[in-house]
Amino acid sequence: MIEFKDFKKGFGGELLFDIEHLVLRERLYWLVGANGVGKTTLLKSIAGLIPFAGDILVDEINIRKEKMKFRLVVNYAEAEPVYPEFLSGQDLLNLYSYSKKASSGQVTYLLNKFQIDGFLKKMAGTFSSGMAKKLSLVLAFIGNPKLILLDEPFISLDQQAIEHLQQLISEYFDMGTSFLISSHQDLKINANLMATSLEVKNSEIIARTYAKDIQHGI
Amino acid sequence: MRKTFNTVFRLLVVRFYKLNAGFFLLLFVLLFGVVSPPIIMSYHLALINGIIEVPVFMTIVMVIWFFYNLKCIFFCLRTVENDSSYLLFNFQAIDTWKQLLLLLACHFLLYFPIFAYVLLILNVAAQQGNTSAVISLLIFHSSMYIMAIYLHYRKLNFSFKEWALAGQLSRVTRFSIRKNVYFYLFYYTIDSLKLGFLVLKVVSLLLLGVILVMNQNEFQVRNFIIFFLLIILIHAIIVYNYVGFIEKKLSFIKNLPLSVWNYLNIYAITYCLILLPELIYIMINGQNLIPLNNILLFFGISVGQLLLYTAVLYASSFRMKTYVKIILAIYLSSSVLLLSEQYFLFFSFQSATAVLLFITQYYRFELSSK
Repeated sequence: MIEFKDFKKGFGGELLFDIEHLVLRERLYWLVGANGVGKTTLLKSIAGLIPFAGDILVDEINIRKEKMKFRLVVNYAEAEPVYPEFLSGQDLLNLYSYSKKASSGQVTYLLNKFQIDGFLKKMAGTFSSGMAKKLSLVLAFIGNPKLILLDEPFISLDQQAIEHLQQLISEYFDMGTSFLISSHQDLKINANLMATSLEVKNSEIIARTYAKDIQHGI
Repeated sequence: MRKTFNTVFRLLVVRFYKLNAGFFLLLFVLLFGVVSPPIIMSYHLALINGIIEVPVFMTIVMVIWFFYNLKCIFFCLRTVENDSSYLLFNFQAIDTWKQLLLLLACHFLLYFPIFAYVLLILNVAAQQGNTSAVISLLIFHSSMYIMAIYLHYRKLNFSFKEWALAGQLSRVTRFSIRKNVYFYLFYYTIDSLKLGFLVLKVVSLLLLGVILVMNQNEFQVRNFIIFFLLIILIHAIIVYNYVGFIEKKLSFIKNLPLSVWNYLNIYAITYCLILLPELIYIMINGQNLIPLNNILLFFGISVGQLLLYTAVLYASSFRMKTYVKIILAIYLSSSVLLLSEQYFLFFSFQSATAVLLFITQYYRFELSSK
Protein backbone atom coordinates (compact mmCIF):
# COMPACT_ATOMS: atom_id res chain seq x y z
CA MET A 1 0.00 0.00 0.00
CA ILE A 2 1.34 3.40 -1.00
CA GLU A 3 -0.07 6.44 0.75
CA PHE A 4 0.48 10.08 -0.20
CA LYS A 5 -0.28 12.84 2.32
CA ASP A 6 -0.11 16.49 1.23
CA PHE A 7 2.29 15.43 -1.47
CA LYS A 8 3.63 18.31 -3.54
CA LYS A 9 6.43 18.12 -6.04
CA GLY A 10 7.62 20.55 -8.67
CA PHE A 11 10.35 20.44 -11.27
CA GLY A 12 11.98 23.33 -13.08
CA GLY A 13 9.65 25.83 -11.39
CA GLU A 14 6.51 23.93 -12.45
CA LEU A 15 4.21 22.14 -10.01
CA LEU A 16 3.91 18.54 -11.18
CA PHE A 17 1.99 17.02 -8.27
CA ASP A 18 -0.42 18.42 -5.72
CA ILE A 19 -2.11 15.53 -3.92
CA GLU A 20 -3.90 16.06 -0.66
CA HIS A 21 -4.47 12.40 0.16
CA LEU A 22 -4.24 9.29 -1.97
CA VAL A 23 -4.00 5.63 -1.06
CA LEU A 24 -2.96 3.05 -3.65
CA ARG A 25 -4.13 -0.31 -2.32
CA GLU A 26 -3.62 -2.49 -5.37
CA ARG A 27 -0.35 -4.35 -5.83
CA LEU A 28 0.41 -3.80 -9.49
CA TYR A 29 0.18 -0.36 -10.98
CA TRP A 30 0.93 0.71 -14.49
CA LEU A 31 1.91 4.37 -14.56
CA VAL A 32 0.93 6.10 -17.78
CA GLY A 33 0.99 9.65 -19.05
CA ALA A 34 2.47 11.83 -21.74
CA ASN A 35 6.17 12.77 -21.77
CA GLY A 36 7.07 15.37 -19.15
CA VAL A 37 4.02 14.90 -16.90
CA GLY A 38 6.26 13.68 -14.08
CA LYS A 39 6.21 9.86 -14.12
CA THR A 40 9.95 9.58 -13.43
CA THR A 41 9.76 12.39 -10.87
CA LEU A 42 7.00 10.49 -9.05
CA LEU A 43 9.01 7.26 -9.04
CA LYS A 44 12.16 9.05 -7.87
CA SER A 45 10.20 10.76 -5.09
CA ILE A 46 8.85 7.43 -3.84
CA ALA A 47 12.35 5.91 -4.09
CA GLY A 48 13.70 8.70 -1.87
CA LEU A 49 16.06 10.02 -4.54
CA ILE A 50 14.66 13.54 -4.68
CA PRO A 51 13.03 15.84 -2.11
CA PHE A 52 9.34 16.74 -2.01
CA ALA A 53 6.80 18.29 0.34
CA GLY A 54 4.46 16.07 2.33
CA ASP A 55 4.66 12.40 3.24
CA ILE A 56 4.87 9.10 1.43
CA LEU A 57 4.21 5.84 3.26
CA VAL A 58 4.74 2.33 1.98
CA ASP A 59 2.98 -0.29 4.12
CA GLU A 60 2.74 2.38 6.82
CA ILE A 61 6.49 3.02 6.82
CA ASN A 62 7.02 6.77 6.55
CA ILE A 63 9.88 7.90 4.28
CA ARG A 64 10.69 10.83 6.59
CA LYS A 65 10.44 9.12 9.94
CA GLU A 66 12.05 5.77 9.04
CA LYS A 67 14.45 6.66 6.26
CA MET A 68 16.53 3.48 6.38
CA LYS A 69 13.66 1.05 6.93
CA PHE A 70 11.77 2.68 4.07
CA ARG A 71 14.71 2.28 1.70
CA LEU A 72 15.12 -1.33 2.75
CA VAL A 73 11.67 -2.16 1.40
CA VAL A 74 11.46 0.15 -1.63
CA ASN A 75 13.65 -0.64 -4.63
CA TYR A 76 14.01 1.33 -7.82
CA ALA A 77 15.34 0.78 -11.33
CA GLU A 78 16.06 3.76 -13.55
CA ALA A 79 14.88 4.04 -17.14
CA GLU A 80 18.36 4.65 -18.49
CA PRO A 81 20.85 3.63 -15.83
CA VAL A 82 24.38 5.05 -15.97
CA TYR A 83 27.09 3.73 -13.70
CA PRO A 84 30.54 5.06 -12.76
CA GLU A 85 33.35 3.86 -14.99
CA PHE A 86 35.54 2.50 -12.22
CA LEU A 87 32.95 0.26 -10.57
CA SER A 88 32.43 -3.27 -11.82
CA GLY A 89 29.06 -4.98 -11.93
CA GLN A 90 30.28 -7.09 -9.02
CA ASP A 91 31.07 -3.97 -6.94
CA LEU A 92 27.53 -2.70 -7.40
CA LEU A 93 26.09 -6.11 -6.67
CA ASN A 94 28.14 -6.34 -3.46
CA LEU A 95 26.96 -2.89 -2.36
CA TYR A 96 23.29 -3.65 -3.01
CA SER A 97 23.26 -7.18 -1.62
CA TYR A 98 24.99 -6.01 1.57
CA SER A 99 22.82 -2.96 2.16
CA LYS A 100 19.52 -4.52 1.05
CA LYS A 101 20.32 -7.70 2.99
CA ALA A 102 20.06 -10.14 0.09
CA SER A 103 20.97 -13.80 0.32
CA SER A 104 23.66 -15.18 -1.97
CA GLY A 105 21.12 -17.66 -3.33
CA GLN A 106 18.83 -14.81 -4.40
CA VAL A 107 21.70 -12.97 -6.12
CA THR A 108 22.73 -16.11 -8.04
CA TYR A 109 19.11 -16.70 -9.07
CA LEU A 110 18.72 -13.14 -10.39
CA LEU A 111 22.04 -13.24 -12.22
CA ASN A 112 21.09 -16.49 -13.92
CA LYS A 113 17.70 -15.08 -14.80
CA PHE A 114 19.19 -12.14 -16.68
CA GLN A 115 22.32 -14.03 -17.74
CA ILE A 116 24.76 -11.32 -16.74
CA ASP A 117 27.08 -13.29 -14.45
CA GLY A 118 29.70 -13.40 -17.21
CA PHE A 119 29.87 -9.61 -17.36
CA LEU A 120 30.16 -8.85 -13.67
CA LYS A 121 33.93 -8.35 -13.62
CA LYS A 122 33.69 -5.71 -16.34
CA MET A 123 33.41 -2.05 -15.41
CA ALA A 124 29.73 -1.10 -15.33
CA GLY A 125 30.48 2.21 -17.07
CA THR A 126 31.52 0.27 -20.17
CA PHE A 127 28.29 -1.77 -20.31
CA SER A 128 26.01 -1.47 -23.32
CA SER A 129 22.64 0.11 -22.58
CA GLY A 130 21.03 -3.35 -22.57
CA MET A 131 23.57 -4.75 -20.12
CA ALA A 132 23.30 -1.70 -17.84
CA LYS A 133 19.53 -2.13 -17.93
CA LYS A 134 19.75 -5.80 -16.96
CA LEU A 135 22.12 -4.95 -14.10
CA SER A 136 19.77 -2.22 -12.84
CA LEU A 137 16.87 -4.70 -12.89
CA VAL A 138 18.87 -7.30 -10.96
CA LEU A 139 19.66 -4.60 -8.37
CA ALA A 140 15.99 -3.60 -8.20
CA PHE A 141 14.91 -7.15 -7.29
CA ILE A 142 17.61 -7.62 -4.64
CA GLY A 143 16.65 -8.03 -0.98
CA ASN A 144 13.12 -8.30 0.36
CA PRO A 145 11.33 -5.36 -1.24
CA LYS A 146 7.70 -4.65 -0.46
CA LEU A 147 7.54 -2.26 -3.40
CA ILE A 148 9.55 -2.24 -6.62
CA LEU A 149 9.51 0.86 -8.81
CA LEU A 150 10.42 0.19 -12.42
CA ASP A 151 10.87 3.11 -14.79
CA GLU A 152 10.45 1.98 -18.40
CA PRO A 153 11.72 -1.52 -17.58
CA PHE A 154 11.24 -2.98 -21.06
CA ILE A 155 13.33 -0.53 -23.09
CA SER A 156 16.79 -1.67 -24.25
CA LEU A 157 16.00 -5.32 -23.38
CA ASP A 158 16.08 -8.24 -25.82
CA GLN A 159 12.99 -10.40 -26.17
CA GLN A 160 14.32 -13.13 -23.90
CA ALA A 161 15.14 -10.66 -21.14
CA ILE A 162 11.67 -9.12 -21.46
CA GLU A 163 10.12 -12.55 -20.94
CA HIS A 164 12.36 -13.23 -17.94
CA LEU A 165 11.45 -9.88 -16.45
CA GLN A 166 7.75 -10.61 -16.86
CA GLN A 167 8.21 -13.96 -15.12
CA LEU A 168 10.16 -12.32 -12.33
CA ILE A 169 7.44 -9.70 -11.77
CA SER A 170 4.88 -12.52 -11.50
CA GLU A 171 7.05 -14.49 -9.08
CA TYR A 172 7.69 -11.50 -6.81
CA PHE A 173 4.01 -10.51 -7.03
CA ASP A 174 3.08 -13.97 -5.81
CA MET A 175 5.49 -13.55 -2.90
CA GLY A 176 3.73 -10.31 -1.87
CA THR A 177 5.77 -7.58 -3.55
CA SER A 178 3.92 -4.61 -5.04
CA PHE A 179 4.92 -2.92 -8.28
CA LEU A 180 4.67 0.53 -9.76
CA ILE A 181 5.75 0.35 -13.36
CA SER A 182 6.05 3.22 -15.77
CA SER A 183 5.96 2.17 -19.38
CA HIS A 184 5.00 3.54 -22.74
CA GLN A 185 4.85 0.00 -24.02
CA ASP A 186 2.01 -2.43 -23.38
CA LEU A 187 2.38 -4.01 -20.00
CA LYS A 188 2.51 -7.68 -20.89
CA ILE A 189 2.24 -9.43 -17.58
CA ASN A 190 1.00 -12.92 -16.82
CA ALA A 191 -2.75 -13.16 -17.40
CA ASN A 192 -3.59 -13.87 -13.77
CA LEU A 193 -2.23 -10.48 -12.71
CA MET A 194 -4.52 -7.54 -13.07
CA ALA A 195 -2.82 -4.17 -13.29
CA THR A 196 -4.41 -0.90 -12.34
CA SER A 197 -3.43 1.99 -14.52
CA LEU A 198 -2.42 5.25 -12.94
CA GLU A 199 -2.57 8.29 -15.13
CA VAL A 200 -0.63 11.40 -14.25
CA LYS A 201 -2.66 14.41 -15.37
CA ASN A 202 -3.00 18.01 -14.20
CA SER A 203 -0.83 17.52 -11.08
CA GLU A 204 -2.95 14.57 -9.99
CA ILE A 205 -2.81 10.79 -10.15
CA ILE A 206 -5.95 9.17 -11.52
CA ALA A 207 -6.42 5.46 -10.85
CA ARG A 208 -8.41 3.30 -13.26
CA THR A 209 -9.15 -0.05 -11.72
CA TYR A 210 -8.60 -3.05 -13.95
CA ALA A 211 -8.16 -0.95 -17.02
CA LYS A 212 -9.39 -2.72 -20.11
CA ASP A 213 -6.79 -1.16 -22.33
CA ILE A 214 -3.94 -3.00 -20.64
CA GLN A 215 -2.85 -5.90 -22.75
CA HIS A 216 -2.58 -9.03 -20.68
CA GLY A 217 -0.95 -12.31 -21.43
CA ILE A 218 2.52 -13.14 -22.71
CA MET B 1 35.79 25.51 -42.92
CA ARG B 2 34.10 28.09 -40.70
CA LYS B 3 31.21 25.71 -39.97
CA THR B 4 33.63 22.93 -39.04
CA PHE B 5 35.51 25.30 -36.77
CA ASN B 6 32.24 26.37 -35.12
CA THR B 7 31.37 22.74 -34.38
CA VAL B 8 34.82 21.96 -32.98
CA PHE B 9 34.79 25.24 -31.06
CA ARG B 10 31.45 24.45 -29.41
CA LEU B 11 32.29 20.81 -28.64
CA LEU B 12 35.80 21.34 -27.35
CA VAL B 13 36.57 24.94 -26.40
CA VAL B 14 33.22 26.15 -25.03
CA ARG B 15 32.63 22.88 -23.15
CA PHE B 16 36.16 22.95 -21.71
CA TYR B 17 35.74 26.43 -20.28
CA LYS B 18 32.21 25.71 -19.05
CA LEU B 19 33.28 22.55 -17.24
CA ASN B 20 36.37 24.21 -15.78
CA ALA B 21 34.79 27.55 -14.89
CA GLY B 22 35.40 26.93 -11.19
CA PHE B 23 39.03 25.98 -11.80
CA PHE B 24 39.72 29.19 -13.74
CA LEU B 25 37.87 31.32 -11.23
CA LEU B 26 39.97 29.96 -8.38
CA LEU B 27 43.14 30.30 -10.45
CA PHE B 28 42.24 33.92 -11.09
CA VAL B 29 41.61 34.49 -7.39
CA LEU B 30 44.95 32.87 -6.53
CA LEU B 31 46.89 34.94 -9.05
CA PHE B 32 45.11 38.25 -8.73
CA GLY B 33 42.75 38.12 -5.75
CA VAL B 34 44.99 37.28 -2.82
CA VAL B 35 47.37 40.18 -3.39
CA SER B 36 46.29 43.75 -2.62
CA PRO B 37 45.84 45.88 -5.79
CA PRO B 38 48.70 48.36 -5.13
CA ILE B 39 51.37 45.63 -5.11
CA ILE B 40 49.86 43.35 -7.76
CA MET B 41 52.26 44.56 -10.49
CA SER B 42 55.36 44.18 -8.36
CA TYR B 43 54.09 40.78 -7.16
CA HIS B 44 53.80 39.46 -10.70
CA LEU B 45 57.06 41.07 -11.75
CA ALA B 46 58.81 39.28 -8.88
CA LEU B 47 57.12 36.03 -9.92
CA ILE B 48 58.20 36.50 -13.55
CA ASN B 49 61.76 37.39 -12.54
CA GLY B 50 61.85 34.26 -10.41
CA ILE B 51 60.77 32.14 -13.38
CA ILE B 52 63.34 33.73 -15.70
CA GLU B 53 66.31 33.80 -13.33
CA VAL B 54 65.98 30.65 -11.19
CA PRO B 55 66.22 27.48 -13.33
CA VAL B 56 64.65 25.28 -10.63
CA PHE B 57 61.65 27.62 -10.37
CA MET B 58 61.30 27.68 -14.16
CA THR B 59 61.38 23.87 -14.21
CA ILE B 60 58.65 23.66 -11.56
CA VAL B 61 56.48 26.14 -13.47
CA MET B 62 57.08 24.21 -16.70
CA VAL B 63 55.91 21.03 -14.97
CA ILE B 64 52.68 22.84 -13.99
CA TRP B 65 52.24 24.10 -17.58
CA PHE B 66 52.88 20.59 -18.85
CA PHE B 67 50.13 19.22 -16.60
CA TYR B 68 47.74 21.92 -17.80
CA ASN B 69 48.57 20.97 -21.39
CA LEU B 70 47.86 17.32 -20.55
CA LYS B 71 44.56 18.38 -19.00
CA CYS B 72 43.57 20.06 -22.29
CA ILE B 73 44.73 17.07 -24.35
CA PHE B 74 42.93 14.49 -22.22
CA PHE B 75 39.77 16.57 -22.29
CA CYS B 76 39.83 16.61 -26.11
CA LEU B 77 40.66 12.89 -26.39
CA ARG B 78 37.84 11.98 -24.02
CA THR B 79 35.41 14.25 -25.85
CA VAL B 80 36.29 12.57 -29.15
CA GLU B 81 35.70 9.15 -27.53
CA ASN B 82 32.33 10.29 -26.20
CA ASP B 83 29.35 8.93 -28.15
CA SER B 84 27.82 12.35 -28.60
CA SER B 85 31.00 13.66 -30.21
CA TYR B 86 31.39 10.97 -32.88
CA LEU B 87 30.58 13.56 -35.49
CA LEU B 88 34.11 14.85 -34.91
CA PHE B 89 35.34 11.85 -36.90
CA ASN B 90 33.89 13.58 -39.98
CA PHE B 91 37.02 15.67 -39.58
CA GLN B 92 38.81 12.95 -41.54
CA ALA B 93 37.17 14.25 -44.72
CA ILE B 94 39.06 17.56 -44.46
CA ASP B 95 42.43 18.22 -46.08
CA THR B 96 45.38 17.51 -43.72
CA TRP B 97 46.70 21.10 -43.60
CA LYS B 98 43.24 22.47 -42.88
CA GLN B 99 42.83 19.89 -40.11
CA LEU B 100 46.13 20.91 -38.56
CA LEU B 101 45.18 24.56 -38.79
CA LEU B 102 41.84 23.91 -37.10
CA LEU B 103 43.47 21.86 -34.37
CA LEU B 104 46.09 24.57 -33.84
CA ALA B 105 43.38 27.22 -33.50
CA CYS B 106 41.44 25.00 -31.12
CA HIS B 107 44.41 24.17 -28.91
CA PHE B 108 45.55 27.80 -28.97
CA LEU B 109 42.21 28.76 -27.39
CA LEU B 110 42.41 25.99 -24.78
CA TYR B 111 46.01 26.83 -23.89
CA PHE B 112 45.40 30.59 -23.99
CA PRO B 113 45.33 31.25 -20.20
CA ILE B 114 48.91 29.92 -20.01
CA PHE B 115 49.99 31.46 -23.29
CA ALA B 116 48.84 34.95 -22.27
CA TYR B 117 50.98 34.81 -19.13
CA VAL B 118 53.91 33.35 -21.11
CA LEU B 119 53.75 36.35 -23.47
CA LEU B 120 54.28 38.60 -20.44
CA ILE B 121 57.23 36.50 -19.29
CA LEU B 122 58.75 36.52 -22.80
CA ASN B 123 58.37 40.29 -22.93
CA VAL B 124 60.18 40.76 -19.60
CA ALA B 125 62.89 38.23 -20.55
CA ALA B 126 63.45 39.94 -23.92
CA GLN B 127 63.71 43.37 -22.26
CA GLN B 128 66.30 42.00 -19.82
CA GLY B 129 68.19 40.41 -22.72
CA ASN B 130 67.84 36.95 -21.15
CA THR B 131 68.14 35.02 -24.45
CA SER B 132 68.44 31.58 -22.88
CA ALA B 133 65.15 32.06 -20.99
CA VAL B 134 63.42 33.29 -24.19
CA ILE B 135 64.69 30.30 -26.20
CA SER B 136 63.82 27.81 -23.44
CA LEU B 137 60.30 29.19 -23.16
CA LEU B 138 59.74 29.25 -26.93
CA ILE B 139 61.00 25.67 -27.39
CA PHE B 140 58.95 24.45 -24.43
CA HIS B 141 55.67 26.02 -25.51
CA SER B 142 56.13 25.10 -29.18
CA SER B 143 56.61 21.49 -28.09
CA MET B 144 53.42 21.74 -26.01
CA TYR B 145 51.49 22.81 -29.13
CA ILE B 146 53.13 20.17 -31.34
CA MET B 147 52.41 17.42 -28.81
CA ALA B 148 48.73 18.42 -28.51
CA ILE B 149 48.14 18.77 -32.25
CA TYR B 150 49.92 15.48 -33.01
CA LEU B 151 47.84 13.55 -30.44
CA HIS B 152 44.56 15.09 -31.59
CA TYR B 153 45.39 14.46 -35.25
CA ARG B 154 46.27 10.82 -34.51
CA LYS B 155 43.10 10.34 -32.50
CA LEU B 156 40.86 11.77 -35.19
CA ASN B 157 42.49 10.08 -38.15
CA PHE B 158 43.98 6.74 -37.32
CA SER B 159 41.96 4.76 -34.89
CA PHE B 160 38.76 4.52 -32.92
CA LYS B 161 40.57 2.35 -30.41
CA GLU B 162 41.40 3.58 -26.95
CA TRP B 163 45.11 3.71 -27.60
CA ALA B 164 45.74 7.07 -26.01
CA LEU B 165 47.68 7.57 -22.83
CA ALA B 166 44.44 8.46 -21.09
CA GLY B 167 43.07 5.05 -21.98
CA GLN B 168 46.24 3.29 -20.88
CA LEU B 169 46.21 5.11 -17.55
CA SER B 170 42.53 4.28 -17.08
CA ARG B 171 43.26 0.60 -17.53
CA VAL B 172 46.00 0.80 -14.90
CA THR B 173 43.79 2.58 -12.36
CA ARG B 174 40.64 0.49 -12.92
CA PHE B 175 41.95 -2.37 -10.83
CA SER B 176 39.56 -5.12 -9.92
CA ILE B 177 39.62 -5.28 -6.13
CA ARG B 178 36.54 -5.31 -3.97
CA LYS B 179 35.61 -1.65 -3.55
CA ASN B 180 34.01 -0.33 -0.40
CA VAL B 181 31.44 2.44 -0.71
CA TYR B 182 33.45 4.64 1.69
CA PHE B 183 36.32 4.69 -0.80
CA TYR B 184 34.26 5.31 -3.93
CA LEU B 185 35.35 8.97 -4.06
CA PHE B 186 38.98 7.97 -3.65
CA TYR B 187 38.68 5.50 -6.54
CA TYR B 188 36.94 8.20 -8.55
CA THR B 189 39.89 10.52 -7.84
CA ILE B 190 42.48 8.07 -9.11
CA ASP B 191 40.31 7.03 -12.03
CA SER B 192 38.93 10.30 -13.37
CA LEU B 193 40.67 13.16 -11.55
CA LYS B 194 44.22 11.85 -11.42
CA LEU B 195 45.81 14.63 -13.44
CA GLY B 196 43.95 17.46 -11.71
CA PHE B 197 44.63 15.82 -8.36
CA LEU B 198 48.35 15.56 -9.12
CA VAL B 199 48.51 19.24 -10.09
CA LEU B 200 46.58 20.13 -6.94
CA LYS B 201 49.04 18.22 -4.75
CA VAL B 202 52.07 19.71 -6.52
CA VAL B 203 50.72 23.25 -6.02
CA SER B 204 49.69 22.49 -2.45
CA LEU B 205 53.09 21.04 -1.49
CA LEU B 206 54.87 23.90 -3.26
CA LEU B 207 52.93 26.39 -1.13
CA LEU B 208 53.83 24.45 2.00
CA GLY B 209 57.45 24.35 0.82
CA VAL B 210 57.50 28.13 0.46
CA ILE B 211 56.27 28.72 4.01
CA LEU B 212 57.94 25.82 5.85
CA VAL B 213 61.22 25.31 3.99
CA MET B 214 62.10 28.47 2.07
CA ASN B 215 61.03 30.76 4.92
CA GLN B 216 62.07 28.47 7.73
CA ASN B 217 64.18 31.14 9.42
CA GLU B 218 61.47 33.77 9.34
CA PHE B 219 58.58 31.41 10.12
CA GLN B 220 55.48 32.97 11.62
CA VAL B 221 52.29 31.08 12.46
CA ARG B 222 50.22 33.95 11.02
CA ASN B 223 51.82 33.52 7.60
CA PHE B 224 51.44 29.76 7.82
CA ILE B 225 47.71 30.13 8.52
CA ILE B 226 47.24 32.27 5.39
CA PHE B 227 49.05 29.67 3.23
CA PHE B 228 47.31 26.79 4.97
CA LEU B 229 43.85 28.26 4.32
CA LEU B 230 44.86 28.95 0.72
CA ILE B 231 45.75 25.27 0.35
CA ILE B 232 42.31 24.28 1.65
CA LEU B 233 40.73 26.84 -0.68
CA ILE B 234 42.31 25.33 -3.80
CA HIS B 235 40.82 21.97 -2.77
CA ALA B 236 37.38 23.54 -3.31
CA ILE B 237 37.59 22.41 -6.95
CA ILE B 238 37.89 18.78 -6.00
CA VAL B 239 35.01 19.09 -3.50
CA TYR B 240 32.84 20.49 -6.31
CA ASN B 241 33.79 17.53 -8.48
CA TYR B 242 33.01 15.04 -5.71
CA VAL B 243 29.52 16.39 -4.99
CA GLY B 244 28.82 16.56 -8.73
CA PHE B 245 29.92 12.96 -9.14
CA ILE B 246 27.89 11.66 -6.17
CA GLU B 247 24.75 13.49 -7.23
CA LYS B 248 25.00 12.83 -10.96
CA LYS B 249 26.58 9.42 -11.38
CA LEU B 250 26.01 7.87 -7.99
CA SER B 251 22.59 9.33 -7.19
CA PHE B 252 21.12 5.81 -7.01
CA ILE B 253 22.82 5.24 -3.64
CA LYS B 254 20.18 7.47 -2.06
CA ASN B 255 17.80 4.54 -2.52
CA LEU B 256 20.01 2.36 -0.33
CA PRO B 257 19.24 1.95 3.37
CA LEU B 258 22.25 3.96 4.52
CA SER B 259 22.04 6.66 7.15
CA VAL B 260 22.99 10.28 6.52
CA TRP B 261 26.08 9.61 8.68
CA ASN B 262 27.20 7.00 6.17
CA TYR B 263 26.98 9.58 3.39
CA LEU B 264 28.85 12.12 5.54
CA ASN B 265 31.57 9.53 6.18
CA ILE B 266 31.98 8.88 2.45
CA TYR B 267 33.14 12.49 2.17
CA ALA B 268 35.02 12.67 5.50
CA ILE B 269 37.10 9.54 4.84
CA THR B 270 37.99 10.76 1.35
CA TYR B 271 39.10 14.16 2.68
CA CYS B 272 41.28 12.50 5.31
CA LEU B 273 42.91 10.43 2.56
CA ILE B 274 43.48 13.23 0.05
CA LEU B 275 44.91 15.56 2.72
CA LEU B 276 47.38 12.97 3.98
CA PRO B 277 50.26 14.22 1.76
CA GLU B 278 49.95 17.69 3.34
CA LEU B 279 49.83 16.21 6.86
CA ILE B 280 52.93 14.10 6.22
CA TYR B 281 54.75 17.05 4.64
CA ILE B 282 53.97 19.33 7.60
CA MET B 283 54.97 16.61 10.07
CA ILE B 284 58.33 16.17 8.33
CA ASN B 285 59.18 19.78 7.56
CA GLY B 286 57.28 21.66 10.24
CA GLN B 287 57.87 19.58 13.35
CA ASN B 288 60.36 22.13 14.70
CA LEU B 289 58.08 25.04 13.87
CA ILE B 290 54.61 23.86 14.91
CA PRO B 291 53.75 21.65 17.93
CA LEU B 292 52.43 18.19 17.01
CA ASN B 293 49.01 18.71 18.60
CA ASN B 294 48.58 21.88 16.51
CA ILE B 295 49.62 20.02 13.35
CA LEU B 296 46.90 17.45 14.07
CA LEU B 297 44.40 20.23 14.78
CA PHE B 298 45.29 21.91 11.47
CA PHE B 299 44.65 18.58 9.76
CA GLY B 300 41.28 18.33 11.50
CA ILE B 301 40.47 21.90 10.51
CA SER B 302 41.31 21.17 6.86
CA VAL B 303 39.06 18.07 6.79
CA GLY B 304 36.31 20.03 8.58
CA GLN B 305 36.58 22.92 6.15
CA LEU B 306 36.25 20.62 3.13
CA LEU B 307 33.19 19.08 4.80
CA LEU B 308 31.84 22.59 5.25
CA TYR B 309 32.41 23.27 1.51
CA THR B 310 30.51 20.03 0.79
CA ALA B 311 27.60 21.08 3.00
CA VAL B 312 27.59 24.52 1.33
CA LEU B 313 27.24 22.84 -2.08
CA TYR B 314 24.25 20.84 -0.81
CA ALA B 315 22.70 23.94 0.73
CA SER B 316 23.27 26.07 -2.37
CA SER B 317 21.78 23.51 -4.80
CA PHE B 318 25.20 23.00 -6.41
CA ARG B 319 25.30 26.54 -7.82
CA MET B 320 28.86 27.45 -8.67
CA LYS B 321 28.50 31.22 -8.23
CA THR B 322 26.96 30.92 -4.76
CA TYR B 323 29.53 28.28 -3.84
CA VAL B 324 32.49 30.48 -4.82
CA LYS B 325 31.08 33.47 -2.92
CA ILE B 326 30.50 31.45 0.24
CA ILE B 327 33.86 29.67 0.25
CA LEU B 328 35.66 32.98 -0.23
CA ALA B 329 33.71 34.32 2.75
CA ILE B 330 34.72 31.19 4.71
CA TYR B 331 38.36 31.80 3.71
CA LEU B 332 38.28 35.41 4.92
CA SER B 333 36.43 34.69 8.17
CA SER B 334 38.68 31.69 8.91
CA SER B 335 41.76 33.89 8.35
CA VAL B 336 40.52 36.30 11.00
CA LEU B 337 39.29 33.68 13.49
CA LEU B 338 42.39 31.48 13.29
CA LEU B 339 44.66 34.42 14.09
CA SER B 340 43.27 34.19 17.64
CA GLU B 341 45.13 30.84 17.79
CA GLN B 342 42.11 29.15 19.42
CA TYR B 343 42.51 26.18 17.12
CA PHE B 344 40.51 23.63 19.07
CA LEU B 345 37.59 26.01 19.50
CA PHE B 346 37.66 26.84 15.80
CA PHE B 347 37.90 23.16 14.87
CA SER B 348 34.91 22.26 17.07
CA PHE B 349 32.75 25.14 15.87
CA GLN B 350 33.56 24.55 12.20
CA SER B 351 33.03 20.78 12.39
CA ALA B 352 29.71 21.19 14.21
CA THR B 353 28.53 23.73 11.60
CA ALA B 354 29.59 21.46 8.73
CA VAL B 355 27.90 18.37 10.17
CA LEU B 356 24.70 20.23 11.08
CA LEU B 357 24.44 21.84 7.65
CA PHE B 358 25.13 18.54 5.90
CA ILE B 359 22.62 16.42 7.79
CA THR B 360 19.88 19.03 7.39
CA GLN B 361 20.50 19.60 3.68
CA TYR B 362 21.43 16.18 2.32
CA TYR B 363 17.92 14.83 1.76
CA ARG B 364 16.64 18.25 0.66
CA PHE B 365 19.09 18.41 -2.20
CA GLU B 366 18.06 18.11 -5.81
CA LEU B 367 20.19 19.03 -8.81
CA SER B 368 18.85 22.14 -10.43
CA SER B 369 17.12 21.50 -13.76
CA LYS B 370 18.70 24.69 -15.15
